[in-house]
Amino acid sequence: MATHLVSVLNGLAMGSLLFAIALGLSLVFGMMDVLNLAHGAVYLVGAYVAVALVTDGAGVAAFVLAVLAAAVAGALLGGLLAALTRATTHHLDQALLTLGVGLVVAEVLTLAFGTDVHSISAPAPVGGGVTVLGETYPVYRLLVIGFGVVLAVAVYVLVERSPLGSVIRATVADRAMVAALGVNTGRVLVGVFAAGAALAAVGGVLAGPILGAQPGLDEKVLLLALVVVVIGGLGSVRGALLGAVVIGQVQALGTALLPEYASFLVFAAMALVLLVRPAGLLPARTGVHA
Amino acid sequence: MTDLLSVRDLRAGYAGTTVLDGVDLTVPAGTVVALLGRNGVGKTTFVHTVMGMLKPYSGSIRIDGRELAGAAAHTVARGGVAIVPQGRRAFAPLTVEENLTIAARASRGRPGPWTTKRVYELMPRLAERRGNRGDQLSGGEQQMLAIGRALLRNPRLLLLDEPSDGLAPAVVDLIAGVLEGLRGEGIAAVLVEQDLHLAFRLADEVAVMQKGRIVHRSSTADFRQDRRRAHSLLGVG
Repeated sequence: MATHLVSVLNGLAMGSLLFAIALGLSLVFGMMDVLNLAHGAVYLVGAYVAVALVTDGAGVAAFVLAVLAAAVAGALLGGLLAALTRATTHHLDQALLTLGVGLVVAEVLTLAFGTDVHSISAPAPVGGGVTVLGETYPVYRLLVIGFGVVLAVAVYVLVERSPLGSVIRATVADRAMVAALGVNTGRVLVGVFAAGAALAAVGGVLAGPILGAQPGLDEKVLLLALVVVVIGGLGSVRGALLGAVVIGQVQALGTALLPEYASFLVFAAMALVLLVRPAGLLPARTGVHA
Repeated sequence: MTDLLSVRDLRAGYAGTTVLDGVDLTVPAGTVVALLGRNGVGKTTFVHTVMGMLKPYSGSIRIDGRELAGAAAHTVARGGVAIVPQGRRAFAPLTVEENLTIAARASRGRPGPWTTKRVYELMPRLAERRGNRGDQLSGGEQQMLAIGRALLRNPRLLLLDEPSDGLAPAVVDLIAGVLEGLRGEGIAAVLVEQDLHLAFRLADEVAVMQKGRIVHRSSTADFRQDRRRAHSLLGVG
């Protein structure tokens, strides 16, 4: 039972990270139909920012600095991607464009940091373990779960309860109509793109002590984030949260219970959801066209 | 009286096809012009192009003397134009209150007589439904919401695209009453409408479109008197 508890906690920590990463992907797709295939590379930028700034035995200050630096780098990359993808409205062109940017960014990171697998240590004060129901569990992962909860509440309040959130949800539903009401939707889109990319890069830092940093991690994370978005439903905050929690659990419990099938289970879960609910579990409501 | 909207030789369409083939149309300030014509002649395309939701191939669209052809929709909106679109397009995931608040907040730079409170006074039904989402409203309520949203822009020109479409006669009457109540506000309007009774009730003037051009323009009273002409232009009696 206790080992299962550890798996559940691992799943929640993974789910928290996946929510932070998938949220931007989902909102950007929902608002402007851009599938940002550079999202995994943005995440990897965050991971390598942590490699550069968080040395072994580093304190909380270095870690917080890494989070801030990753947020800035992510926002800049997101803004650049938003500007680039606005130049064309063709979906395939946009997907190829973001894929290209992602490949270039990943390659630059490999040139800078090499092909080694880098591990990143948790900040020293929270680097230890704590006993949960008789099992020792890393404090850092509990903090990641706490971060996920705080992020989910903050994003819920921002998107579901604030005036800016109304504009974001309306833009997902019917962008042209929002523009016709005098809102510069282009600015909203750039803002969401930048914020979503900043969150993905911060996710890269926070995931550092769990997943490390290495070439190819961007693709794995992008794939997982895509599965989360497909399961949860495009353009939906609640969908991204539910999808992230489900995939976190499927992955963690799968690894614990059926290790030889673990990587397959994530896609089996996606296939199952697509069969039962093709639009995802909690898709965004689109415009009413009577 | 000066023309609030002045459209010259407007050409537009979708993906290379030509729908508007040289439209000329003027709307004097405070005047309601009904834009009539058979299905597919380009009425909705015209409204979308004026609103900036569709970029024209060529031609001029002046609002209050300012050239806005090819401008983005939010720029046209800030120039004093608002749309009540075909199909209403209420924001489904947002409550009535949130639908209205988006328009009200986006219009803070355009002070005018319309506030959310006044919209609720004009259409009390919306006030009763303020906590309901767009997709929980009836067609008539969605139409009221679309009208309220447009009014909160404090527009000088209102583009109304088939406001009676798909509504029961009693509801059409209700919407017509709301629009009639706006007559004293001095808002100019282009009214695209299949329901001729409604068009004649609301419009000062009539313009008829055929194959992407305006082929007739007269006062509503004149248009109603010559039934044979109306029949030949619209295919109705």
